[in-house]
Amino acid sequence: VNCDDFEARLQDLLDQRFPPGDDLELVAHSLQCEPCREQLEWQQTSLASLRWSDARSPRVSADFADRVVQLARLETSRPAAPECGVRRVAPDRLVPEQRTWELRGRVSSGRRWVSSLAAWGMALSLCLLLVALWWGRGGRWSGEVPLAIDGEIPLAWQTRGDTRLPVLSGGMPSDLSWGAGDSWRVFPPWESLPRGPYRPGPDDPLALRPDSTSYQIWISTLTAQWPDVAPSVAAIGRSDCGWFAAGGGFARSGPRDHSPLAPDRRPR
Amino acid sequence: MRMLVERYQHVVFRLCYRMLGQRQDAEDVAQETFLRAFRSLGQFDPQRAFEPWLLTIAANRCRTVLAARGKRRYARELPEMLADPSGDVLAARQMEEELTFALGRMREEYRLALVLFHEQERSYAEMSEILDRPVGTIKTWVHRARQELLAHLRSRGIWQESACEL
Repeated sequence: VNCDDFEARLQDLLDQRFPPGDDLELVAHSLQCEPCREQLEWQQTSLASLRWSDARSPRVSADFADRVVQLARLETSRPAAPECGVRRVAPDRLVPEQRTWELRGRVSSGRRWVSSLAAWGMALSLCLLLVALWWGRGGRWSGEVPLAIDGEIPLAWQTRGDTRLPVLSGGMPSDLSWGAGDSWRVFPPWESLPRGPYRPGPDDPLALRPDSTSYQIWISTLTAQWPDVAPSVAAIGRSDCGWFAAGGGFARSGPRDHSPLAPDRRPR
Repeated sequence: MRMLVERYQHVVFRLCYRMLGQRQDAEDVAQETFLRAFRSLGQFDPQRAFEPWLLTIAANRCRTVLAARGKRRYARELPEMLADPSGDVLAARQMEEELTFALGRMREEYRLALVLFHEQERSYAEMSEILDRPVGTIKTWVHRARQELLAHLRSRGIWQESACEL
């Protein structure tokens, strides 16, 4: 045994809890080598000091068990949801008569990280959902997003001077009674349109002018890229106004007693 | 329930005390360990040994507390340097202080492994279950912990290593 071997053999002996004196070769070397002998003695001394003697052993408070039991009973007195498929074990059954139990199985330490990550993920998703809702409800289009009025979502907002009037139901632009300075900002109910290669997004509100140029562009875009949408197909909107059928089109503005439509041209 | 606590309270408390270095923290964590164990009894397989399962909870709780402490992980004061490294340095009290200080400077894994093996006299198989690591890893931790312990004693002037003459 040389000094290099000594360290490895000493570790092996300590791992097996054998007294180093049992290894005669180790002892023989330590008798000739002062540093190795000191290492052997100090290793034994320091490791032995790790074990508490009865006199030095720190002890829990005298009322520790009382406190724990009291707290545990307090917790169990609260109603808890039953755990499906899980067998309850009486605590008293867990006290062994001898300390000779066999070790089996394993408890995953990664499980708590997974559950922690899942909790954070859910919290993050909730935050994103709230932001998305805020964005869609007006965080971005403040003032222009159609809001529900009397349970109806306006199709458009008519701006007449400082007054903004909601457009609640359908019609044709030519049906509108245009005044000087009038402008229309339309938010068609895209959701009511059938799926197709072109679907205007919510970022595409249509600005109408009395000459209906934008209107014509929009209609031509819609019909050119959406050839399967036939004019006056009722399925795409309650349109008695011809082939424009964006879920009801637009026209009558509110409040209800302030309709720009001529009474005889109001949609059915 | 009381029998269970009384049966295991010392083993759990001593592990927490060695890991945290403070009596009050150790008692708090021991208490939390039992409460968590009672809450999770439904998940415990009665065919398995209870004590390693309980110590797993205790070890995890200690790690959580140590992580929450941040840099002030092991709250022990540095003992005075020993004036005379020979003679009465083997006094149990001084050695205990040095050991406590050395444990506080170790990595948590090494400390836990050293305490479980030498203080609680657990087998490597038990430790593998408690720490959820292979036996080889646990052995490495224990060996390094022993080496760090001796290195600490040397640095504190308790043990002067001289050159090997052979």
